[in-house]
Amino acid sequence: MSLQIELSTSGAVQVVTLAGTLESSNVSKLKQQLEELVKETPSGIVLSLEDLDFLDSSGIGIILFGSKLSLSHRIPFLLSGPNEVVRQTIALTQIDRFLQVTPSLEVALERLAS
Amino acid sequence: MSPQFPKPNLILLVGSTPEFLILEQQLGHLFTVELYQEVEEVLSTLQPGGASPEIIIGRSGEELRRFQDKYPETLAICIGDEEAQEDLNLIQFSFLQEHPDQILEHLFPVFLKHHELLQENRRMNGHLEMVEMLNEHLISLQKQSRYDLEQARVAQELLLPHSLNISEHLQIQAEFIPMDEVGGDFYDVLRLNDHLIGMVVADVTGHGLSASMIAMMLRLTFRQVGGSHSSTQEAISRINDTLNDYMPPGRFASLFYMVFDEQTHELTYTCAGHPPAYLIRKGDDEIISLSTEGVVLGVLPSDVVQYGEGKVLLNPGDRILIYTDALLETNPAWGKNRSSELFGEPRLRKTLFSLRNESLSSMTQKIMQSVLNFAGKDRFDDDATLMGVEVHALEQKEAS
Repeated sequence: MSLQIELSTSGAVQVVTLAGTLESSNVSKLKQQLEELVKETPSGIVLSLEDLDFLDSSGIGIILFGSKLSLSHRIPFLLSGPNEVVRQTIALTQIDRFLQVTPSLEVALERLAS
Repeated sequence: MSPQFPKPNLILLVGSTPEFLILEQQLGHLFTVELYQEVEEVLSTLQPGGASPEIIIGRSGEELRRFQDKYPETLAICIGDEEAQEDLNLIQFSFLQEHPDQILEHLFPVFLKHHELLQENRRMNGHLEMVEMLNEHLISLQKQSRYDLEQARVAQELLLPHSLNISEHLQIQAEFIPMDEVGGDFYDVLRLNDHLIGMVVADVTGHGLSASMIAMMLRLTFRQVGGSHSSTQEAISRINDTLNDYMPPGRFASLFYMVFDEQTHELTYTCAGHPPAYLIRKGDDEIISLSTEGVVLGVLPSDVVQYGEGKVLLNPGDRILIYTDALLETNPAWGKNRSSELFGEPRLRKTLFSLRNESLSSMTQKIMQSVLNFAGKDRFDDDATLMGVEVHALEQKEAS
């Protein structure tokens, strides 16, 4: 199954909605997208994971890459709404200790607004 | 300026009947023409390897075919009555027997068409030669690449421990199945001093050559750092700092490291973003997860992250199993629909429980096979590693 990436904005926040699977064969697609996005200096980036079915360790790697890249541009970077499988994979690597993972996109946007 | 029409280099006439004399007369004004009695005579006259005559005119289709066997590009015109099987290079003009004087008006259109086809054919052959050359080049590159991968596989195998029997207190068993020729997983065992044994299972993001290179780097770092720290927490922090300096963006490693004390039978362990290890107590139905605080390696410096350290006392017959995430993430429809059910931790625990009375080597082999059976496959879609460790009572080992 492939990865679909949809871009939208909420105010000055850039929302990147992922659907399908995020894995070694398609991470470069998201990497390229994130590199482009930070150049536009949004007030925040939310990676919306509600429709993401699965991610492997390469997927985690690219999320870490996006987080580091955003923070180097002083842009807050949040994850929102992972399903149980995705949430467990994130928890296993313990990167959720350093990344902000919110239960839904609304919560992520509220957090950025506050 | 009038257009330049192609002109046949040589026209061969093969026949002894009167119409051939007329043909010679008609064509000889404009072209180089040679008259022969039979095809064998022509073949013996032509210089081997010389330019092909462009046109041959004869009575016998069979003879003309024989000529074309040697000179396939020559246009053959059969003026005999026998049914010659026409194709692009053989035309039947039987009417020339009666009207040899009409040769010029009929010859030109077929020669022009033949000439164009011949040119096109030569162009295609040129392209084909180029494609064949490129193909040969690609095959050579592929062979080189296979050779390089084979060398990398040998290098990786050499880096795996030569023997797992480094302690008379422990039986250690390992299953390692890289997805490609080389992989990003590795395991290692290391005697730290006269009573401490270090054991590690690690998984670098991705698979293939790039992951295996990072795995080799991590393994060498582990050997260097692990040997000088009896605390797993300190060793992992040091390894993380080293990796953090040169880990490529988007890559990381997870790792479970444990140190067994042969004197006290205490196991100290640190988990860096890795699936928890399992402790199976002898005679106990409970499977205990072993994990600690600790993010994956190579992502953040150790002054930002903290690694925990756990301790547990082991008894003879107790087993520890460490594995990489391929065992959890394998599913029957890998690559097609990842949303289908994964093997997952509950199923892995259940499998461990059902195999708890098997020998250690049988247990590790059957776990790997159970995961593959669940997925209905004969290979994993990621590098897969499983290490099993069992504590021996010395007198028990001696008895066995």
